[in-house]
Amino acid sequence: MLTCEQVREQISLYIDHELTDDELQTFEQHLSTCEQCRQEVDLLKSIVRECNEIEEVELPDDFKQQLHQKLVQTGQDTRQTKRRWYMNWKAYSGLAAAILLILLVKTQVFDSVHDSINRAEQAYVTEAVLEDHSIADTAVKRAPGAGDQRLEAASAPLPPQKSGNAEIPEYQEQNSRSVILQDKPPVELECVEDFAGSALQRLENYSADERLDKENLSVDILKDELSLFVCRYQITMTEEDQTLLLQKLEEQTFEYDIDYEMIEGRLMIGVLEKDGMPEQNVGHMLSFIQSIAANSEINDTKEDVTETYQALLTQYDDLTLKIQQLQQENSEPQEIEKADKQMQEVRHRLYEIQNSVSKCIIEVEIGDSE
Amino acid sequence: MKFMDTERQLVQKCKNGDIRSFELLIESYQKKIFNIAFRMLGNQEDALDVTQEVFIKIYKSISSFKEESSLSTWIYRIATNVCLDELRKRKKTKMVSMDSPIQLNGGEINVQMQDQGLHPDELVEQKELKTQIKKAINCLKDEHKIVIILRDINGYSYEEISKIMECSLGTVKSRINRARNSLKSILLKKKELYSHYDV
Repeated sequence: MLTCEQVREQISLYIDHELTDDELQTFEQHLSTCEQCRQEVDLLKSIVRECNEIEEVELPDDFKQQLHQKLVQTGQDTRQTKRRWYMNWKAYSGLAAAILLILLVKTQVFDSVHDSINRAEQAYVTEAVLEDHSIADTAVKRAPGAGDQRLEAASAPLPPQKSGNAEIPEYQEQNSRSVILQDKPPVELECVEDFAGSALQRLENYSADERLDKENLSVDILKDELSLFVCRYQITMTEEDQTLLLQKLEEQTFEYDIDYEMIEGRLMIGVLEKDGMPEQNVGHMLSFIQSIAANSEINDTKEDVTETYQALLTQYDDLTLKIQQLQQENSEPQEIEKADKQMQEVRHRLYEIQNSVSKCIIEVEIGDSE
Repeated sequence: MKFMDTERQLVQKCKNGDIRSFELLIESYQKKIFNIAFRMLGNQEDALDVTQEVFIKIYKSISSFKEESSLSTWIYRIATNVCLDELRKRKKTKMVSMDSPIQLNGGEINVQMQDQGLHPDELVEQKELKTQIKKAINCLKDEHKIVIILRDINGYSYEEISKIMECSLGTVKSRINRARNSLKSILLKKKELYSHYDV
């Protein structure tokens, strides 16, 4: 037989029909003999009933609209944050390229590359400009007379140094660049909006792909990066070197919450590698990436880049000329130094533009792979 | 967008940042969560803010939703956590003001504490039982308040509540019973409301 105290502990279970048959039997036995517990049960039942009947409050009419605005804002913020991550991703690929540059030098590829600089006007050149800490990876396609003119403007070779080592500009001496010949012709880019839907569908399939398991995310990306660079530049790496490179890359902390950009990055890699992706998907990938580019700041970059870049080039030329004149006239060293400083600033801005169009370059690369 | 997207398909689209899919997905939860927030926080204005916060949080974190638990459980878990956090924040503010007298030039002022219980005058004025119950719920401890809201107002099962609150079924059982007893005690402070009960 249950005590009153035990019964009171079970009242809620009784009200909610959560007692087992045996428990229910002993519970009801007690109730049949205990008026006080019966009243307690009735009281709690009535409270519960009243709670059950509490009416719902309506949402204000403008709730959805307000929420929608906040969601749009959040979406924009998130994209910006992820874009920052994307730039990091680019940086890591830059790091990979930097390490591979060392290998390039080792494998004497660099020599042929070096020669190619002299023939840059005739060749299609992909540049990877890297800086020690920011490690920005820029690959610029040179395509005279074909392709996207705006892109071409951005990808024009940088003006030579005043110091006379025109073939190897200063930034190359900063131990951080590679120039690699590509003999494939560029393909003109077209933004195919109709394809955006199927590209998004493809993206969904990718996000459902088990390979996107977050646990393995960073390693996956790194492996892709590695294989990309290895196969792209046809560099033979020993397994030991590959492991070392992976370790180095993994030391860079990857955030796990990067689905969107990760997928984007993976798609690019997939397209670039091509072997890792069925033929029919390449078009979808391309249009997807183009649709991203069309909606992103890259688009703005493309719009503005010609004017800005040309203006900077003119400035650069003017400054070069000015310095030459100053030197010929044996002007004050401070004056020459001042002009030189200005020229370095212009040069820096030119590099910045190159970095900012790196995404466009990927599109060109994709065009090549098609 | 297809007319009949399954919840799973919608979740996938949301994970890709599709706001329209997200809005479709949360359509049926909006009012419920607003009501939970309203009962938890006690006023519409705060409830609206918190409800929006809940959905923004869900939108931001849906990419981490593993789809191992049910979507509704996951959504309600976020909602209850945001509400509880909000209540904790409030308490923290109140604790500071209650515990620390305001220092003024050379003197100090003891802060007048707000009565958290039912005001007798209010009870006299508003005898209607449901109104009293709503007020009494507002006076419950947070952990009791949430189970009363989930179980007795929204009708979730013990099992669902244990998943939402990420605690054992045993905890839920005992907590619901304690919460109801606590609610009863608050109501009985004004005995005339229940004068016909000899308790």
